[in-house]
Amino acid sequence: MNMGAMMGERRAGPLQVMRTVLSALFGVRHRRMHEEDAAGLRPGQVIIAGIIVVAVFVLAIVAFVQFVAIK
Amino acid sequence: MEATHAHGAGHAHGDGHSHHPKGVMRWITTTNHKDIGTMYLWFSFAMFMVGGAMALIIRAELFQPGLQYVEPEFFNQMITLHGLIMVFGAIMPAFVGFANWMIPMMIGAPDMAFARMNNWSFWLLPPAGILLTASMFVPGGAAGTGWTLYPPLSIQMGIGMDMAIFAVHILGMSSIMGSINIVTTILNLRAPGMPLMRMPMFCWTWLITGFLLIAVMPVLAGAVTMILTDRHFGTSFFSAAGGGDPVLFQHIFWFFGHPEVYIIALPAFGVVSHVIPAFARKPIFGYTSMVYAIASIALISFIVWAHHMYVVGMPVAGQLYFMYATILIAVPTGVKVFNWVATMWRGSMTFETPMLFALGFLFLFTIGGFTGLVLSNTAIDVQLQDTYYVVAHFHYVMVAGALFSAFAAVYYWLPKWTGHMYDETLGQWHFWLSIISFNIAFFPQHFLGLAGMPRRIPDYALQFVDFNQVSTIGAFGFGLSQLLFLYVVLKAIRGGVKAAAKPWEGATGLEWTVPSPAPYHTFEEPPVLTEAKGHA
Repeated sequence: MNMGAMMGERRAGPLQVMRTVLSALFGVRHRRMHEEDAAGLRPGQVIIAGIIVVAVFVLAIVAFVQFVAIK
Repeated sequence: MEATHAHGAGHAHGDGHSHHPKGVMRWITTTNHKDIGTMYLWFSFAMFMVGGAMALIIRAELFQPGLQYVEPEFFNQMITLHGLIMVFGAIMPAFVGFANWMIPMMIGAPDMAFARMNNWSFWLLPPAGILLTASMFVPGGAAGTGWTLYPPLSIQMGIGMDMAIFAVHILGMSSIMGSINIVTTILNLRAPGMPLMRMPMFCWTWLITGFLLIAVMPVLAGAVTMILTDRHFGTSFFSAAGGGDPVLFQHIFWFFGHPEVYIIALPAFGVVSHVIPAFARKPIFGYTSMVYAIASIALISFIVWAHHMYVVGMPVAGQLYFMYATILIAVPTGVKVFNWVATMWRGSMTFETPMLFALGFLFLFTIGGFTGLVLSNTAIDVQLQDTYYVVAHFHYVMVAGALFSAFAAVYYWLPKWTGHMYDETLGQWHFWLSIISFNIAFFPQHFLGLAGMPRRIPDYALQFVDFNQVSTIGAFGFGLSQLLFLYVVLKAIRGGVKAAAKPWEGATGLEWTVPSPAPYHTFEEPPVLTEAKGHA
């Protein structure tokens, strides 16, 4: 993908990628924050982080279900 | 929808393409994205008419209780073919047609990345359409299982079922090739200076839809292949008698089927995200959060499939999991609705036909979304499973979500395709007739479902007569209104007020920088992008 080169040289750290993906899941965020993040993000990082977050999301719902369904 | 224009332009532009075959061979051998887009759109309209005629047979039979016009077996076949044809033959090809026409122009590319494969993706469709429609005339008739093709019924049907399976295989191949083409085009052929986060929203929605299609169409192909081997080659994947499980099919089918809902909905979101900003004369509110929301919807769509099958037998923990996950997917969808509303806030709006259809989409899709939330609740779904409430829900999502946005897209881009403005008065008539008759047809079905009328049954109890008659009258009105649409499109192809390169004051994007009608070849040299020419 030719996008990484265009978006700047600085690589985003894992924490920053997670923050981006979590705000994506919520759907709303400040433009300023997004522009800070977008500078260093690569699509590959975001996709991997997205899949991890969805897996954690599923496990969180399963855990909650266990909590309410099991007496 | 712009055959004559494309003809004219193709002939006028003799620039090194005089070797192009003429007449029908031109359409068979074409690798031009505009020609192929045109063929996709006409094919989908033809299928829309066939599927619509089937819907009218269903509604005619349901006008009165008892059996009037068709046998129950044939009624079931109409239900099945209507679903399959509308989903795979009408809606999906329509949006692939829009993608073919518009994505290369939106990103400043000369054509699709794989131009010959593009031709093949299209020409797979007519054989599949013929297989599906011709299956009505074979011994035993067409598949009568419903579009979900559940076993054990789908294992017992006649040769019509094999034809449906083969058609689904072919349609799946076409979709996968189309998606690979679109994804590759978007990732590799963008004009220099257009990063992903500044490309038009329609491209974003199709990029993600492309990945969804590549992920789930093989799943459907696998499921129907397993049915085929169960039918003919002695396997027992779905037959309890041989140690298999029919419920397995439902899981596999809906693992495809739920993302499929978003495959249909996301490009529709993309269209609306162009039309609303253009007619509100404001850039879209929250471009970034829109992209995020689309990506989130796509990912979450993979983890909610079993809400389609709450009643097949599932532990309470499973029901709760799918209920919570399904309710949560409403959050990113809600974000999108808020963004569209916020885009219009304090905009200087005008209400030409594309905008009317986009607003119709927004209004009706929100109703469909809310009834979806109602159904996501397991305790309620157990009551409403397989009733007309479900039919009302998914028609509000599919017709209002996909079809209305497809109409918005056609009216919005028709000047670019044909070089002529469509007849605005008739366009508005089409909108008002459609939205009123659509609601007359489908809103009463909520009441029928709540009162307990089952779906997919040709007969019903006497207390359901009134609402069914209202619904049938609305359905015929809706069907006839679409003939007006055909007339408006044909009229615009044949002539009309000359369209400017940018006929809509508030429209943005590269596609409006080329003349109307768009020349046969556009952006042979990549355009030079400035900051201002970014996304819509």
